[in-house]
Amino acid sequence: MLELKHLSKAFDGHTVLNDINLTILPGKVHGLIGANGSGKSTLMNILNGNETIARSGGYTGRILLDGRDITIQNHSQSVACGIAMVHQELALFSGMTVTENIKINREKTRFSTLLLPELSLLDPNKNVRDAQHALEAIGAHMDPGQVIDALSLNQKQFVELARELDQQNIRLLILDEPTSSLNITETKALLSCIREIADRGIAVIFISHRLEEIMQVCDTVSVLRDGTLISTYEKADFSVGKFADDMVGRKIVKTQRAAKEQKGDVLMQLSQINGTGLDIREGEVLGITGLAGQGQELLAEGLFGLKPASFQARFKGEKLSLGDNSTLTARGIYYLSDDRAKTSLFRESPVWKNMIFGTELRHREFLRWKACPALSLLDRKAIQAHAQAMIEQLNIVCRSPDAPVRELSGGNQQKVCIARALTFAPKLLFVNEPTRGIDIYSKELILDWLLKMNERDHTTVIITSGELEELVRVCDRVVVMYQGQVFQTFEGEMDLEELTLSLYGRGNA
Amino acid sequence: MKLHAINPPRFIMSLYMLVLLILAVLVDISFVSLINDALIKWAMNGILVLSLIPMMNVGAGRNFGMSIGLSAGLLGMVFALNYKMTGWLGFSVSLLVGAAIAVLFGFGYSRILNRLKLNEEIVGTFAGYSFIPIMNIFYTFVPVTNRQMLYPIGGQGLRPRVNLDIYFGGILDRLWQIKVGEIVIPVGLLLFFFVIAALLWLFSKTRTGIIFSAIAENERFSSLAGLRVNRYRTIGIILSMVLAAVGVVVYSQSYGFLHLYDGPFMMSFPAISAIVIGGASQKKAAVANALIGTFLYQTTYLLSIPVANALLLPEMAEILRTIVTSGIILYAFIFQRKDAGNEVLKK
Repeated sequence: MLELKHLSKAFDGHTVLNDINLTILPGKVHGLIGANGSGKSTLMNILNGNETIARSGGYTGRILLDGRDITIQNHSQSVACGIAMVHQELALFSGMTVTENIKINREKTRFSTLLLPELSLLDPNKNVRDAQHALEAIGAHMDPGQVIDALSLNQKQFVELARELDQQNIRLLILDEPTSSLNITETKALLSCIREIADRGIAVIFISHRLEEIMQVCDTVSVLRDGTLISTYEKADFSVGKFADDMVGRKIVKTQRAAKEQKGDVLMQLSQINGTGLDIREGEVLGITGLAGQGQELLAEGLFGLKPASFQARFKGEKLSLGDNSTLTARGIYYLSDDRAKTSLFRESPVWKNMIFGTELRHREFLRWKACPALSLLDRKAIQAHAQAMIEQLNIVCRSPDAPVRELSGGNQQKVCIARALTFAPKLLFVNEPTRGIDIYSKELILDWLLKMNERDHTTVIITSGELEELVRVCDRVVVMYQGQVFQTFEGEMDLEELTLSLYGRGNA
Repeated sequence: MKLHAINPPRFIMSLYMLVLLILAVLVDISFVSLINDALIKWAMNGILVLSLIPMMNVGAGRNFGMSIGLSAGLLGMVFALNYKMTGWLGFSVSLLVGAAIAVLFGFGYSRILNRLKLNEEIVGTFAGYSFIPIMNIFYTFVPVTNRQMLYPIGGQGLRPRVNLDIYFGGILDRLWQIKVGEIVIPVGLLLFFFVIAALLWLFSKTRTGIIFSAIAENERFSSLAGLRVNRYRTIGIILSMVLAAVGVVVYSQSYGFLHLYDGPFMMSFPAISAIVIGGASQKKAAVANALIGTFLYQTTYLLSIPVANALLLPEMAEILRTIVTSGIILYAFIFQRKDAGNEVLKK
């Protein structure tokens, strides 16, 4: 149905896509995998008519739809060809209801007037019914009258999907990391729904970092590396090992923690978490997990005042007030959020500033006039040297420490955040979803550094994540949250199956 | 926006200035006096433009409420004049008292702005406008004893304009003047201006300066990193107010009058217009933006007066100025909206 021939794209002379040849068939799910920065997003942006492509000189090569040449220069041309895309980052109107979001620009009206059709009266019942229908088609159950703001991240994802599928003439659906923010049940629901969509004769391009999902749902998988199409596999030839090899072009050594002999003292005490409590021991790597919306991320976010919370926190016996971040950081408690763009990075600022920001008081060598930090100039030489060292250690791909951080790919941005945590050298580090939306190679590197911080600098690390397999590998203890409570704690040899059951509130609490 | 990139306002203003220059040559205007005036206008308005920088860089917007800081400076001068302090004593006491009052005003103003984040500019406009009548009532009742400052009839309430000639009028303008042919360079005034500019530039490179720009870029992250964001905003707002107070004292000594009542009414717009011409965006203003912008804005205005007098109506210069000033600010808002829109699209 859709054919790409010799498709190439360069930004400022820097080739990001090199001679891509790809055939997409109707009714098939075509997986697209590759490390961060391998060109997946650029390829999808071309198909989706993203304006950055046209603005930076367009693409070369041919795109054929049903054997006919087509050009895609803007988004409306892409829509006219029946191409729909669900982005990794959500694009919804947060103040409007689910129905309004799904039916936007396709609203049903009571009677359409020939004159000024924009002013015709909406038919709320019909719209709600349509929205309900679209939601049910993908296995999502929610009230279409709800406002987007009130939904959880994964519910929003479903709304977005429903909106795209509500289009009539849809031929190709592109899904960019649709499961990255979903938990296991929701992922399952989504995957089976993707199959159903494909069975309706729609071609699906499925981009994901989770290879298990790719194996499960795709009919064909193509691997991109550094802008080149490395290989395409049919279902019979699928193998995680082959995928991984093709993606990174080298063998991945999985990070594994060394078992610790003795337990540390209690470093932080969290109590009154809906009637339960949690002790954090010095020097441990603690994993906190749970299904989406069970309150696992609320511990760190509540502590740092990002969300209202009512639990009590004591650090070495001292009572902490929630949201008093300057006291928290002064005690050496640090937080890396999963929402990098909003809470962990200055996107427009250079890499070096993102690496050292907020650490100057702990690193007086970054300041020229150490007696008066507030009015001191920064020691650019020391900072540059430090940033350069970090870039090498963490293998960050960037032009230079002066490059703005927005130029970096997601994985490299996360490494910059890790670099800042390393610079800060906290006593207690909270990390939220450190590997979300990141390629395998960077994932292992980040986990490896978190463990290194724990062993070398004796940092107590608390990882909130939905990636059970990672937690089991890396953590000394894993705490499962259920309905806002600490439900179960796992220690020592952890059984993945038991852990999974516990997520659903089953197990010997 | 890059500092050296030519933004549309700067381009248009440069073009406009060029046209005016050609016209000025045609109508045979004395360039010597023009250059002399341009230098003085540059420095006398420059500090007011510089005063916008700390607030913009801390993310509290362009200071449309500048008249609050200006009022502080005026009060400083009222104080000095009431005790008949002349010369350097009068000038420095005006600066000190004005700055001290500006700290107070700035603190109160920052309490308002910290509650109404993201709306600083519109709130500032109204706060600034409503502050002027409050001050007007104060000027009417303030128990001043210096007869030269009071209304000649009735003997109560300050005059709208007090002549500064016998106090400290032109004290900076006349300091260390160097004459090159007929051109007079007011070294003292320029030096005062440049020292403040240099200090501000240096401040932007300090740790606090870096934190300012960080807050403007991402307040949430700054707060997560353990910074007391509101405290830095307060510092920035107070700094802007103090500089506005200093600016109005310098402005008045050049102007030769202490202009009370509605004097500060229309002083924030030209300053904001100037810094936009200089290439500043809403959250990023460099000292160079202020210097370039003020020079272009003030010189263009200066040129337009004789040209308009000779070719058009005498009032035309003022009309043109209003169009340019407001037009540039309008441009800044349109441009900024476009910026924000792009941000949303990228997501």
